[in-house]
Amino acid sequence: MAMTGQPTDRQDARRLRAKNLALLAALLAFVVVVYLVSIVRMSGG
Amino acid sequence: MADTSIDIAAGAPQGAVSSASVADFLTLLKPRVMSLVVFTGFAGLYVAPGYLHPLLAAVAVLSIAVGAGAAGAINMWYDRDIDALMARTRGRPIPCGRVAPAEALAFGVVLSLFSVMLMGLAVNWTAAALLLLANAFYVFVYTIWLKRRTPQNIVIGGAAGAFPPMIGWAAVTGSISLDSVVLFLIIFMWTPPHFWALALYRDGEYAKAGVPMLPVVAGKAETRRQILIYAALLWPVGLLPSLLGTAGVLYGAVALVIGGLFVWQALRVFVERSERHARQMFGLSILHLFVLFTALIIDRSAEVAFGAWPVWLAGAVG
Repeated sequence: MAMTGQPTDRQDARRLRAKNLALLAALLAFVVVVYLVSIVRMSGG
Repeated sequence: MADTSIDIAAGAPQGAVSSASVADFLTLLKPRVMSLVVFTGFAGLYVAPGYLHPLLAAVAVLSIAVGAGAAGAINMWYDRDIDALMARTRGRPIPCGRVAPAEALAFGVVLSLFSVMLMGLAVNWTAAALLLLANAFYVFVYTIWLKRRTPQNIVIGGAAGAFPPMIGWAAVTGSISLDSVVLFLIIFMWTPPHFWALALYRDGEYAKAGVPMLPVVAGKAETRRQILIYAALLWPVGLLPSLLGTAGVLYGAVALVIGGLFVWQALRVFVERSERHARQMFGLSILHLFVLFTALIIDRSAEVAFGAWPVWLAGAVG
């Protein structure tokens, strides 16, 4: 568990950045899905 | 020096930066269980009569996958104490202290609600209601109520894992029919011999964790007998889709063979009484479900590609 020291701080920062990017990707994917579903539903699909 | 020991109930130390990685959150979703759920859900969707736009079908499968994963995350949150006691589960993110219990619970609840809303808004509310029911059943009935109280935990709780083909079917048709109930029944009858085969050689761990699995409570001999009974009951249930006309002769032939093999293996487990046969039974059970639902998909594809089965051939089984 990270308590002190630069290497673990860097690891934590890297993990946090990866989690943020994953969340961003999931949210963007959700927006795209909602957009595409709206088009399909409006066209009677 | 700060105390860095992990309290299972509390999870990661308060105030520390969570050491959970993206992979840890994916692990919370129980990807191996999810793959079987997605597959059977897709099969239900594929064999259902009617048309669903491919994008909406993909969203339906995604919703089933996310819903199942979310239920798995909530299950890991609730079972974190007993997970820490079993070798098979002690490497999970919460017992290891990589994910805080509250984080896992929030992750599971948010994803569960998200999957139900997505299913409802994009596909239909019957499928969404079934997805919600499956998740609620898995969390409240199986995980919280039955799992630690009765050896019948997986018999009744197994219903939660049997919902996906029904959800897939409802995504296309917007309704529940006898055909989809039969698909539900197949997985429902399949679940006890599957888990009891595993419990036959993991009974020590379950006993240590205080989980009253059948071998722990009633003994291995009774468990072997129950496995044989359920395998024998599953055989005719597996044939029902052909008899009802949901599937054709190809599926019927495959179900007849794989169901017979399953009963044969259950008989060997019953007679031979060895751990090796129990392990083989567990492996065969996974293969059994995979083969049955693959046959359903192929059968349906063949029907679509070549037209309906000849009446005389369909009549031979139906």
